Amino acid sequence: MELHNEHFIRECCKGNRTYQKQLFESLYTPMFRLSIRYVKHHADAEDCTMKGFMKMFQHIHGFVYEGENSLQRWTKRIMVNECLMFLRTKNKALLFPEDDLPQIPVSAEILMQLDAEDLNNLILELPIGYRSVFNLYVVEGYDHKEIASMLNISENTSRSQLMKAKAKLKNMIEQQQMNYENSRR
Amino acid sequence: MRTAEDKYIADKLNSIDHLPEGYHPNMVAKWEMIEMGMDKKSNRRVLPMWTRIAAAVLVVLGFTYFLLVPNSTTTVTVAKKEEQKSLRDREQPVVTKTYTVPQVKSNIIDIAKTTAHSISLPTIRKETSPATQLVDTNTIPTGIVPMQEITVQKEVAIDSTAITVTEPTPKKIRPRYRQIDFGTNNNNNELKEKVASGASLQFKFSLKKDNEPSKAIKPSVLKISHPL
Repeated sequence: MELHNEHFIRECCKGNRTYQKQLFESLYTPMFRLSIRYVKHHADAEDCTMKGFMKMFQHIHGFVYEGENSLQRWTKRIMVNECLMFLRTKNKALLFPEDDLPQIPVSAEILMQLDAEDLNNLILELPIGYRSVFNLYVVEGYDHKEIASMLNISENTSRSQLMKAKAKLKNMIEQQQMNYENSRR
Repeated sequence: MRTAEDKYIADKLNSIDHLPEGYHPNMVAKWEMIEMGMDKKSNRRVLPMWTRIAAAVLVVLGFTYFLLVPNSTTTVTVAKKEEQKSLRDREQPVVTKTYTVPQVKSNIIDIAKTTAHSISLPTIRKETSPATQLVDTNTIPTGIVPMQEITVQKEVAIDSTAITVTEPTPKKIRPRYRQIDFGTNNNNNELKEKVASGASLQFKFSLKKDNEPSKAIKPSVLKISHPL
């Protein structure tokens, strides 16, 4: 059975448990990966993922099909909100350190050399505030206006946080590269 | 605006399609947990909207009633329950009843608090039941014995404020004896009644004057006391 086609999604919306179970199994891995990019630890990511799925299935009857991947986009949005809520409650407020970092663009060559898993691990090392803005803008594709309303910050703060996140990531990538070369020598 | 670099990073991160190493979730247990959560939510009993609206309207009406309707009055009605006695039990001694007037109005509160009024009801006229009359006189009474209804209305003056004590009309109870109007004719009378079981009872009897005593035997007493 082809997953996420219109018939499949309509059955899920009607409350067909068999289809809903298949949907859950197919979406669990990408949603867990999404959650772990925000909350870092497995246990927290699992909590967020489960809460997100619970919300999703409770409101799925109101979902409007708008083409392929619309359900996945909708689910992603639920998960992102759940993770941000978790960060807000755990850290009281999202922290945005204002340290001045040199803004150096990351070259594509260095990025190409990086493994996806390594890149993921480096992103997890970013401070919570940087990481949130970076994930929302670069990975999820939200614009600064949306990010500002989601995180309750100004658009300019979102822009500056993104630049600082990128600079920090670049420093980290370069540091890792240097460590790797030193270990080879 | 997203750069090519951003897209590259996003694609790279989204390409990871496996769970982290060392993490193996029990998908069956997780699905059961979600199903349980969904069932819990669907089983939750929520009052329909119309009941909430109805309750709110009732509360508002209740408050409005208490705010708009004045609760001060100068007349106190003391209800007295007087049971209608059967004709046989009508012989009653003189009854004296004591009523305490409750607080009525702010300007008579002090008086009303300490005032107890003794109201003597008039002596109830002694009536002899038709059955007793029959026993005493060996005659059948003519005419309908009226049912007595007692209404007591007294005015008690307290500090220029009249308090009316009203006895409510007693509840009419069906008499246990059927009274028959024989009139002046000596024709045979018939009485047909249906009893509770559905059977029909029929009686035939005629009048006998007092000045014509029976020759053979003493006249017997006619007593009808079936539940009508």
